[in-house]
Amino acid sequence: MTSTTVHTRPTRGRVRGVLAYANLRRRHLGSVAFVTNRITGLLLVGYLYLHLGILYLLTEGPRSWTTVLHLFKNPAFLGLESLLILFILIHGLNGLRLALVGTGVGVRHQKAWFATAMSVSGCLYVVVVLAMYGVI
Amino acid sequence: MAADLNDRVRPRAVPPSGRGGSLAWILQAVSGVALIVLLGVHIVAQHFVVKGGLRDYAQVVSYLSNPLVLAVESLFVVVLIWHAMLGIRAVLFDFGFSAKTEAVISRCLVALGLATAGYSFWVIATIASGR
Ligand code: HEM
Repeated sequence: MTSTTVHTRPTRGRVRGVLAYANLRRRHLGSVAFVTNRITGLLLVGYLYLHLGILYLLTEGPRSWTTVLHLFKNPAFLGLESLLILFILIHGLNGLRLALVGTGVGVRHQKAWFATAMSVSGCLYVVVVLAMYGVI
Repeated sequence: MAADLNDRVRPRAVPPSGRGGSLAWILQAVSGVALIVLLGVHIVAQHFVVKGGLRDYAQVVSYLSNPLVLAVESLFVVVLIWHAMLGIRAVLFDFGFSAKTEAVISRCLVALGLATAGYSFWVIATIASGR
């Protein structure tokens, strides 16, 4: 870690800081990796609560679960589910890279690690989508 | 800790007191790596090995009646919530709040994590009992 300083910013600066996440122009690969990890992490937290909410239906018995299963098997819904897998792959493999680099493993090749993590995510995503739609 | 791709843009979630930040990061990384296995098992067992990708009610009840499955799913719930709460904490701490506010945030996240785990275990227990 090169810096452990936390700068206290005034509220307006904070808001601008949050908006700056969305701006990917003239960013270094490092900040793209950081923003990607953060956004996918937060989206996965949002999904966790949605998932837990839906699982409530299982506690109400077979009927309500059967109703929701029909919705889940809809191709449009499958598309959304596949995005979830993509976020898990990107966040998980980038997270693995961060865990390794943060503990001193492969620090000098971290850009190559990042490229590998993203390429593997992309390839696995294609396989998952094909499996989800019954192509393979 | 070694420098990494992200250091240029982010002072990692270290409280102004300087204590606890690195430990939180280590726990985040360890729980993340554990999640690769646990999440992988969860997704494959709950969806990929099942015809049509989703278990019906009877299949879910029978799956959860296996004690080993119950243990692995319970561990998954704990590690996942742990990782998610540490993640939200890291994001919030990067806004640079005062030490007092950060302490309140940590306490709120412990409460949220416990509530989420309590609800999750209630769901698991209710389904496993087949009621
Ligand atoms: C699939 C396995 C996963 C791995 C290997 C992993 C790994 C990591 C690592 C190493 C970090 C720390 C990044 C840093 O501070 O530099 C992190 C952050 C985070 N993770 Fe995960 N994670 C995984 C799954 C998840 C899941 C399923 C969720 C949601 C429930 C999640 C939510 C978060 C959040 C919110 C952060 C904070 C992001 C930030 O500090 O910018 N992660 N993850």
